[in-house]
Amino acid sequence: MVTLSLNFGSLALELFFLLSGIFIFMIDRFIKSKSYAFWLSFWVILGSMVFILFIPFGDFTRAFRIDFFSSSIKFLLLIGFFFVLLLSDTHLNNFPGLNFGEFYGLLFFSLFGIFVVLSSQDFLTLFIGLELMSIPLYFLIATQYVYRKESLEGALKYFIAGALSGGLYILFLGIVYYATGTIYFEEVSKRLAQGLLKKELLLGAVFFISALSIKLSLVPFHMWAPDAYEASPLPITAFLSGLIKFAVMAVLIKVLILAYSPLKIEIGKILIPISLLTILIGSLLAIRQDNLVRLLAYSSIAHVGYAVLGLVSGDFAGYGFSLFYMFVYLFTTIGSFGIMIYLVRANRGFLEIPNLAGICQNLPFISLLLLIFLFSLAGVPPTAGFMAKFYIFLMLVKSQYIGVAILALLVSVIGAYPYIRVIKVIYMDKGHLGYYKPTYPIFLAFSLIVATFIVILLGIYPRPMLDFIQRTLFLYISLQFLQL
Amino acid sequence: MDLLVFLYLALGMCIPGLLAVLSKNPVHAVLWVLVLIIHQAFLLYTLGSEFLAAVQIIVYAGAVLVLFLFVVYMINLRMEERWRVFVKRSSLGLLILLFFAFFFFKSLAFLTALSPHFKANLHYDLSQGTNLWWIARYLFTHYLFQFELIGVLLLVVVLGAVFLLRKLKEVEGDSL
Amino acid sequence: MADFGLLSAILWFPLLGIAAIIITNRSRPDTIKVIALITALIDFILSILLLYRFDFTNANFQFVEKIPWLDVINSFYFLGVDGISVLFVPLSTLVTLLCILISWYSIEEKVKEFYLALLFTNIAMVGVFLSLDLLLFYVFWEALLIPMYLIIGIWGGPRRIYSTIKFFLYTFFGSIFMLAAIIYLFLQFGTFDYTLLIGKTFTPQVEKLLFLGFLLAFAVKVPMWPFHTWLPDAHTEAPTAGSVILAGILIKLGGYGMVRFLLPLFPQATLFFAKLILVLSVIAIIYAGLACLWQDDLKRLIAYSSVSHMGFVTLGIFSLNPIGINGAILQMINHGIVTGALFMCVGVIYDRTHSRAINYYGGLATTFPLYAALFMIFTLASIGLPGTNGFVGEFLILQGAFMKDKAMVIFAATGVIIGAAYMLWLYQRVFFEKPVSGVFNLPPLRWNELLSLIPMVLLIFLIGLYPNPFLDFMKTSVSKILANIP
Repeated sequence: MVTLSLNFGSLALELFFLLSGIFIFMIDRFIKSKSYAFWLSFWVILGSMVFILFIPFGDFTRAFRIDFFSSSIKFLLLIGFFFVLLLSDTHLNNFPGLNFGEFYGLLFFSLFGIFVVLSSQDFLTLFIGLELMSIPLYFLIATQYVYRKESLEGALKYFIAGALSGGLYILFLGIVYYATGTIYFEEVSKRLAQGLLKKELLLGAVFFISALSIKLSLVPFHMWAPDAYEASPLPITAFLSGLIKFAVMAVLIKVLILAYSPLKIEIGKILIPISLLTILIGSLLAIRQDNLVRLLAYSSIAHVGYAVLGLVSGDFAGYGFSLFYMFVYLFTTIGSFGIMIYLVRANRGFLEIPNLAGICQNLPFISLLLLIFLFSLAGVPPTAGFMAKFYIFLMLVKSQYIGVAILALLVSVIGAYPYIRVIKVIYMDKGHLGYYKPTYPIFLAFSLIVATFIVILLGIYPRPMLDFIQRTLFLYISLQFLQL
Repeated sequence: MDLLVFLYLALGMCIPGLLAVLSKNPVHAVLWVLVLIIHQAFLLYTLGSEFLAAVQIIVYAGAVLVLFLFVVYMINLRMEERWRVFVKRSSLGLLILLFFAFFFFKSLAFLTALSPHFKANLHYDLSQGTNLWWIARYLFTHYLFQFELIGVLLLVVVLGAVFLLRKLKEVEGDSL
Repeated sequence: MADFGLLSAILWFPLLGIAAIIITNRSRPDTIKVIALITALIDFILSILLLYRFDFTNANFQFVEKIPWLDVINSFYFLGVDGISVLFVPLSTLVTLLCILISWYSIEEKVKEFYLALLFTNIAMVGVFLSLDLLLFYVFWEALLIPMYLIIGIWGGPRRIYSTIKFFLYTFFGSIFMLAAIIYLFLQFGTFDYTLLIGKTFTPQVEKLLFLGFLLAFAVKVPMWPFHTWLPDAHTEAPTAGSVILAGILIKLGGYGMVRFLLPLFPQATLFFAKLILVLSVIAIIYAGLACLWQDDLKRLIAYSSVSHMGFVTLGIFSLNPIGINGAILQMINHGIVTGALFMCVGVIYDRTHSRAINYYGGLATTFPLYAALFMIFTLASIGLPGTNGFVGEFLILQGAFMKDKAMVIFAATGVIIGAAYMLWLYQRVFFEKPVSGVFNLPPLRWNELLSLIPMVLLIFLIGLYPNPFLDFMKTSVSKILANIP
């Protein structure tokens, strides 16, 4: 007889989120003032940031494991999520048509999905987690249709892309299960270590990478990104491009370490053309964009491309640099979308780049912050964007991919152009649009200042953060090898 | 005898499939798919997987196709009946068809080569219980967590759909 | 080590001014200007203190500060000066100071941002000259792009946007290759430390590639002949202060980088490519000189003359002997002073008439005599008349180059003649002939303009008549740098 010990302690945080989400859905009908939902989420997230430090490592069945790696990544994600909440509050106050408690409830469900993804120990849980992560987002994107009818199209595109991702993933799952008879990461890794079925599992990995590239919007699965980004409410866009991509990158790294470590060199070779094309296409298409959100969508495509370049060598230090890159990108995203939320408060038309002409005259502070974030995206020192790119290139040259590094460097020059074009419009063109100058809500100001601080601090002194990420990874990897 | 039954079921899937694609009346097309699915269910049953057969009938025939029919009724698709050619670039379609056929035969060979591994990896023995018994056993023991997660997933979907339909109303005079 | 921290003080002192400006209300532009001026003045005094404390008999790095910065990759916050860089530090702070003065009345909009950008430029410029860690060097080198991009793009002339984007992309493109070379060096030897990298050996092919990587970055900045096209555009459209910084410091970074990095790190490749670079320098001298002759825009003419003068600098550096290099470094400083002063002069009349066209002017000598006298001094210094600083630099360079390659000198010397031709012709067209209607009743020179031009005049004669103290600073370090080159 099979006996199961159910260790709910390790599942506590996830249950907490799930219950908060359901609670919001249950009581939302009865409460008129919607700020309760924000404050509830605010305290829940602050509480979980403390709480996560005390959650013991352990398993909940074989499928779910709390360990050092997942807890660290979860902690970083909680910080990011906290800022998304702050941005949401500002944005929803500005757009009362969206202001429902369910907005936060759905965000909680998505966070629940992310946490399941990060803790999963087998491919099936990973799959369900990915779906849990994405499905609330389909709804959240579609909410925007109260202000913008075309949003439904973007939501549908994201939904179809997600369905395609699910289909590819199931194909992968089928191949892995058919070939090895197991879905657990360690078992797959054991089979690979015995030298069995390399070809078949590599084929599976191709499908796996395709499925995840839809979430990461890598070429050739990048088409949904600009439409979905443009369609979503701004905090959700920040969530999509910052948190989701960070989480998916972390789990890709986890799978490469746990399940596919014997094949990581081959997978790296598959990733080279993908990431180079992604950077190239993201940078080129960003040039022609006139909408700030679409521009950032293409830039997000390109940036994930750079982050993936850290994975190509199969070197664990490179994995750390990729995570660092995504962390920097997370905060750049929060900052730049926070600025957009502010701009939209001033004038609904400010998401179109030509309308931004000359706003530095009346909005000097916000223009300066946008300048910092745009230079960080372009990768100019002394911002964090430079440090992140620098480490990726360092890794590439170190693992003898000098040609790849040179190509990526050249493309990064093209990639700088769209950002300096926006700066040009803001600082150097003559303005014509009338607007009033809104105040800075305390939460927005707080998140903007923190994001700026982090972006500059990591540009000048990235050491502690890098140490933290590298140590997390190395500890994790060494533990895995001890178990094997 | 087995062969005869298989041939009948195979034809019963191929012909309705073709008819579903070719018929211009959308209601007819949906009904042909229904015929296809019922044959498919029987084929699965003859292969010894009664659970999948039942799922096929309940989920596809019972739920999905009914939904299709609703959609077909609700949005008036009479226009297509008058089109002479439905798809213009049929040569492109042929190319895609050839590609998929190639892919299909390739993967068939691939899967056949893998089949001994699969048999070696089987965790269950049908002589000890039916398919349904094994599935239930695994679902409620080994894969309990995933099973519960799917429950959460369904909950989220239902909540989200209700939220989207009941709460949101277009705002006049403010747009993005 | 009583002087420990002096370099950091010079480098980071403007941050105080930046903080003070940020908290000042933008409705009080005069306060902002005064804060910026005081900051720059103190920074300049600190850098003079550096000159005073500098021991020029010592060829090693002085005032060294070394603190771990990114120890994952073994990179240090590593500052130090030697004879090559020590003169550039006061030059940078002086140029910033004078830029603040000269823009006192001419910048009227976005005053706060302008002075922030200027002080930020100061930090980045000084940082480039002080850092001895390659990564730190690169960070400052790139960081300089941000304020310059803004200064040209926001406060520049009508075609400023085209120019500033061209400037940004050109220099960004060039430095990317330097970054690749720096990364390669690090992976080969595990350090970014400049002092440790000297004397390392490579296979010839690798050395040539690395040399080219660095050279591309420096050549774009200098700018050498085929890469010069951004400079006339940027100079022409930049505001006066921007042109002065570009001419005074920014393009010196390229020459400084060549002396600092190319010669000691890659001696074999330097020898291999020296001939090529000499040829390119001579082409730059003659081509840009001829181009000056048919410019009808004051600033554009001076910009092309910069290309020509920087051709002399690269000629001096790659003649690879102490005389040539001493001359080149001195000439970089001279050029910073003279061309900076010329741009200031153009700025002075541009503020009054809003025209840069040469044939708009005429007869200024009668209507604006004091200005004409100052301009004459700068013109003569630019030509290299004995007694002015231009003569010393050019003479040393030509002498050095003569020891290396006689044929080159013959061509380069024609450049001096062309230089005299275009500058004197320019002077004649603008200051003599019949006065045109637009130049009557020009307001006299303001205090800030006088204050910023007179130090330049003093420096021109100081270096021109008594260059020895300046040469003393660099002598020992230059011979040390040449020690590796056979």
